Amino acid sequence: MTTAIISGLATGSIYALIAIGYNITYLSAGALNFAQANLVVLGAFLTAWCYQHGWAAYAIYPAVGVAVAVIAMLEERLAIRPLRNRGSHSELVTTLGAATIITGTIIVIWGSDPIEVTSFGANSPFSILGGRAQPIDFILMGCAVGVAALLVLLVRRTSFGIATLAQSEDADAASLRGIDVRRLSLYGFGLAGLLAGLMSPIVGNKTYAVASVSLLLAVKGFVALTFGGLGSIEGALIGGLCIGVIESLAARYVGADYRDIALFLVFAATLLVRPQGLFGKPHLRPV
Amino acid sequence: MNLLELLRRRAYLGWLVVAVVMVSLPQVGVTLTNLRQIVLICIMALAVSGLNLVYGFAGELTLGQAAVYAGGAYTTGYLASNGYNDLFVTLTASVVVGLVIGVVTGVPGLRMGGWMLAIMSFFLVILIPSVINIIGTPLGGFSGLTGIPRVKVLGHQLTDNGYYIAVVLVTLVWFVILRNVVRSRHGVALLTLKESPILASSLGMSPYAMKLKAYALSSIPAALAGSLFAYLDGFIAPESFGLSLSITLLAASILGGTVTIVGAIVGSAIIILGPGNNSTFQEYSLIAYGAFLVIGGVVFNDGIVGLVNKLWRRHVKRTPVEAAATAAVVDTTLDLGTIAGKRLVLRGVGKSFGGVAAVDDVDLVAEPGQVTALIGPNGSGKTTTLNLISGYYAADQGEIMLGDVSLRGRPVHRVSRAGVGRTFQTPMLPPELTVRQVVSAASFDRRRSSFVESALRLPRFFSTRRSDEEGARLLKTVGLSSVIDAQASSLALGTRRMVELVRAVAGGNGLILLDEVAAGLDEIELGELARIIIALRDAGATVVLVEHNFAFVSAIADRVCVLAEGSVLSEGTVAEVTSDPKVLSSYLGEGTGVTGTRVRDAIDVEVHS
Repeated sequence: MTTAIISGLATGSIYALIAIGYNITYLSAGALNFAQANLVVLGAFLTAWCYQHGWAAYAIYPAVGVAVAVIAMLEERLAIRPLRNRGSHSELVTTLGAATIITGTIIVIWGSDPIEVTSFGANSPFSILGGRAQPIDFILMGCAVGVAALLVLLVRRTSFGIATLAQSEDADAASLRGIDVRRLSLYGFGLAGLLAGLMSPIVGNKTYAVASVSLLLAVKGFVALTFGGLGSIEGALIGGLCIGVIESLAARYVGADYRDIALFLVFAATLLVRPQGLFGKPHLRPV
Repeated sequence: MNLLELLRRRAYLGWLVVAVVMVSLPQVGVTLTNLRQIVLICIMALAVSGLNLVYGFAGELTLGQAAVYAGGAYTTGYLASNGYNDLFVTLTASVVVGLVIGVVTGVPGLRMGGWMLAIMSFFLVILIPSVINIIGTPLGGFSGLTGIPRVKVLGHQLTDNGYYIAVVLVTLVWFVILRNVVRSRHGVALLTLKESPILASSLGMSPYAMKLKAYALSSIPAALAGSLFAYLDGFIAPESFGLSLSITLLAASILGGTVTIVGAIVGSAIIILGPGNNSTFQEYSLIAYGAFLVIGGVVFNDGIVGLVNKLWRRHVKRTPVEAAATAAVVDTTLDLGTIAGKRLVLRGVGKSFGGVAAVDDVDLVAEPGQVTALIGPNGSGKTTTLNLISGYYAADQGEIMLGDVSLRGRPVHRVSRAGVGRTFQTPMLPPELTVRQVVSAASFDRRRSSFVESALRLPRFFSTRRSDEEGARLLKTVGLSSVIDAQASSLALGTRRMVELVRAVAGGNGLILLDEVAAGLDEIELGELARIIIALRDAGATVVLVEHNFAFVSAIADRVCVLAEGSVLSEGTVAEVTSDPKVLSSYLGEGTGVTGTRVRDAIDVEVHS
């Protein structure tokens, strides 16, 4: 039981980090980014490449962070900005396209097999509270909570954050008040990319660098986002942790094949019973 | 036989010729390898056509076609391996399974639409391996289902050529069915819904029910495709139905053009014949498909078929859109027949938004055969009142009666079905539709034929076509016959308002709500508009008008209701209201000498000339 819960909290932290990334672009650009998980996975491959080429750890984090942020900003310029005022979630198709390009590129360069990301040396399991856990599990939880706390502060205390809230309420009104919504959108993607890049060595340590995992992370991150409530950072964190534990318990007590089915049911139930999620505002019609 | 009738038959002739040519290909010595390519194109085109229906026409992206396709393939594989190997049986069973899968995801996903539906349907694709593994041995688990026998039809085992012909025929029959649906008012209704659910519900469509129907219908071709695919190699495995299949189908849809039927075939053919045959390209296929999605989403929304259509229209047909941009009232008699107007009564209606009362205790009576105008300063609650009648807002208190039917608490589409038509401050006309089609979407619920009746062209379908002809007659009466086949959204503002007005009237609505219908019109257009509204009134309709142009109001209104800060300030004839000191001080201003004679003069001049 303890083992299942800890492992659920750890994978849940990954879902939470993806969901927080979705929220950043949702608040700042008014668009969800299907490629958020692909950016994390891309970062994991870059990290693995850096380790193989003998880079030092202190250089890898900023390098991967900046590289992924640049790619995310490039995505914004090519797949989001041209859509301004197009409406009707056309970014659904274009960011899915961006995600597909990233995955396709990864497969061409690195192939489809998993590559180990050795960012924390030996990951030896230890006993705790009658269960087994790995150090990386707790590092992931710490990261998710820390990132969520930082972003809550960023949104509430900085002019950038307040501008994103204004933008997400009404982009036209925000630009009339002198907020440069185009720059906000670009920076939002940059920030989400930076987060993806900085977290990718840690996430990759748990998941390995493998192209096929990005789809699972994208969908489950979205379930976390919906469960917690679109637009809410706290909701993304709690949503991620909850669904991580739910799928871990389902896999442990019902069967490994029921891991995804359990989440599918949670997702369907959320949409039917409380579509605005735990912390969402009901009037925020989804994108 | 008129030209329209002939063209319609010729379209069938075209499909028939295609069918004969395709079916005779094996006889003229086309090799099995090439026939296999055509089979693959047909199978993909089937799945893509469903995507076009949901994404291109209904405006909701689904990524779950691969799951429905897998459902069809496994149903057929299982049945064929277990002694029920007959194409009619396996196709039918696959369609049933496909419909179940489609509806199960559609019900929760479509409520919110957009990303929720896309992710929900994508999730379904992820579940395929787990579900197949849970079912276990009957479906072959992860390693796949092998030894699916060759297809039989009524006990006869088909050869490779026979299988090819079966695939081609199933595909062609489905495309004719789909074409029939899309070319009926259902296609128009779906495009209307895609443009705006607000507009669609005001025309009597239930957005959720419409989308669910389109979604369910789109499962049918995907299931057919899966069923035919299971027979292709006699082997299916979970990895055939993954992410890359969903992406490939979407790429084919966007490449061919999402708002077309033929586009599904064109897009599929390009993908099968191009990348499908080229092994070096295979490696880069995901990158290329991703690029299609980005480019397709950003620049060319209409795909290759849309592009060809545009070029065709520009260089070959040369439709005179420019000349028809404005229209004049030709028919001076303006006979709209009789309209059974109903009495509208609002009693003590109130609505607050977050503690602010937008409308407070409003009483209003609008009689049939009269024009009732709602006027008042900005923020006085005019449009809110209109929206309360339409059902966009639910009234907090009070009673809204149309005849002896209570409208309060009804959803918008059910208010519309009670006989309420309306226009919007900014005309809402879906960009893909012609004027004729826009009007045919009016009063969608009444005298309509169902999906099935339209698809199979059953008798009820033709009676709906007759009601479309009534719409055409109405357009002619108000002088819009010259623009009847022009793209509605490209017309001048005055003409667009006129089209919207006709749509609100068509289908025999007894109550017509007009929201600032005169805004932005010049004097001639105002005169024409006034004539039509007066003709509506004389025909017996109940007309309620929200308007700022007081000259216009005083020219045509029988009763005027002045709102201020959410409640009724004054009510009476134009003369009574204009002499009410409260109205003068709070809204019209004193000593301005508003008379409305210029608009009335404009009308008189036209009637007499």
